Amino acid sequence: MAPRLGHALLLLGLLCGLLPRVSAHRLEEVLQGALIRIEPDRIHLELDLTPAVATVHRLERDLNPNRDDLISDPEAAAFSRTVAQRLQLRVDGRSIALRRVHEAVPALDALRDGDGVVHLVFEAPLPRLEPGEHRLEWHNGYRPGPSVYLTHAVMPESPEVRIRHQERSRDQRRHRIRFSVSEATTDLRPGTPSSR
Amino acid sequence: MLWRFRICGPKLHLNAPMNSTTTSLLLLCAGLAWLPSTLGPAYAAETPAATAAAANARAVTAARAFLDTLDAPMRQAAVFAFRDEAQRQRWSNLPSGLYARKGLRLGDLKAPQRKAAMDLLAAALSPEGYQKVVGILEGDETLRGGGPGGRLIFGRDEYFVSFLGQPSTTEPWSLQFGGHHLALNLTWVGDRGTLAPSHTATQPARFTLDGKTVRPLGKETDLGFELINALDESARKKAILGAQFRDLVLGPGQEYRTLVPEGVPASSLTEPQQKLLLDLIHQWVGILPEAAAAARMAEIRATLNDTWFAWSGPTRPGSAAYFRIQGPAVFIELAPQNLGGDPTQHLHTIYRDPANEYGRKWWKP
Repeated sequence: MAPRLGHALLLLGLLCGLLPRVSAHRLEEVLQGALIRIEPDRIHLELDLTPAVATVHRLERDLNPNRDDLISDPEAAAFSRTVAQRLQLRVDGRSIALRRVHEAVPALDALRDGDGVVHLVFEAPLPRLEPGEHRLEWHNGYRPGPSVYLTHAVMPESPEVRIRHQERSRDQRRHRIRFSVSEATTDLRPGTPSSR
Repeated sequence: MLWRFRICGPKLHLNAPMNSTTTSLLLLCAGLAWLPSTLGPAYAAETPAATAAAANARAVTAARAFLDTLDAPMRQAAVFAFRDEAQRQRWSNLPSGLYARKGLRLGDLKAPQRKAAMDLLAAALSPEGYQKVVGILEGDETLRGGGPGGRLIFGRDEYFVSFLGQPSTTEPWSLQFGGHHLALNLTWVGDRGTLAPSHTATQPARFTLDGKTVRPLGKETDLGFELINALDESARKKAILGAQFRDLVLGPGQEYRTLVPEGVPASSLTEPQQKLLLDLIHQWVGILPEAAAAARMAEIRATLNDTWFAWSGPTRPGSAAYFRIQGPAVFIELAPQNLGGDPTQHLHTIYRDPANEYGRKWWKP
């Protein structure tokens, strides 16, 4: 290699090392955002999984086990059930099973291009909660790789439920919600917002 | 603009004799004196609605001027039907290479077209809003060549402009402008304008341009720290959430959701603290021209008692901290991005109006 070219390459290499690392967005983690809505007779949980480009392959193992690059409806449903099994939900200390309601899974190409969110919807029916104070605890145990967790309660649709307090673990994998249920009423609040 | 009136007729002395004709003339002049002058510059009586309508008119003029620079295929690429929901929600924080935007790419425009596009932004936004946008674009320009690989494309060429509907002073229309770390969704319906929802972000958060320090989100972070540190210990304790927030909760794609409010309610803040909170909110709302921003701020002020402020992270100014402002007419988050580099140099924000995203209550979809 000509000395000048070699020096240029060496300089370029040094410069690249000195350039600030540009991590303009999430490259190596799956963002898991959960929204929980509490109603007197059920818990509604929506979980959005946004895989970073470098982590799609980890989700693919669960989403497309037959590796045909096409996520079929049964595969999407199976994935949803797999995730549901990793989510632990307790209401007033009792374990409650989450069941899948709906999933929207983009094509693998979209996920690989970084333009895709896997949207999972779960529900857990409850025997109608008695008026009074209650607590919900849930743990997101789904970890396809390094993940960033967010969890939040959304406004209930029922005017009988009032969220009192939320507490999360620092990494937001665990979420505790204190809420109260009042007597059933026909006085419907107008324009009660819903989570979607 | 203030009301201006002219006295017609000669100046009168108090002891001037008056007859019925004189009286009539005086009354006529007095009446006319309260009418807005129509001569010379537009000293029209300017109600808030009139000034907001004028702001829309300026944006419409600039938008039409920009569209006039385009040939037919480019115009078709730039203008979508107003009720095109897919295009309405087609915005992201992601850079080109990871997200495909529609509309016209600044890098594909000729110089006069690009100038017209920037003139449009200058007309459609407040001066501070325009400076913020330029700062974000220039910040992205510094990322060119420093990215992790060829897939990601940064720089001011990678910002897109598009319209929903035809720019109009009477019919609803929207201006979309965005790219990496920026998504402005400006909707006008006559004299009413909103920027909800919009995303502003920056990386780096501080850089030098033409010898000057630029901090596109400097005021947002400075006022946030000022507010959290202005609270007394009890209020601060309520405001600070125990968990770490490493991203926006209601960022791009999280439409029409209402979180349960957390933190400290504005109703328990002192008047100076409430003013700080409003000043902080104005950093987002004030990207709009002032007349439109004033109307949005009035709505927020009217519901301030139901607005909450929450914080996560250290309170020492300059630290990597998250905050959220949530009320019936406003939802704002600022989240440092902890992605391996310095999180204080990489900030994402979102601005929403839970009562009126995309101005929907004005055009009733």
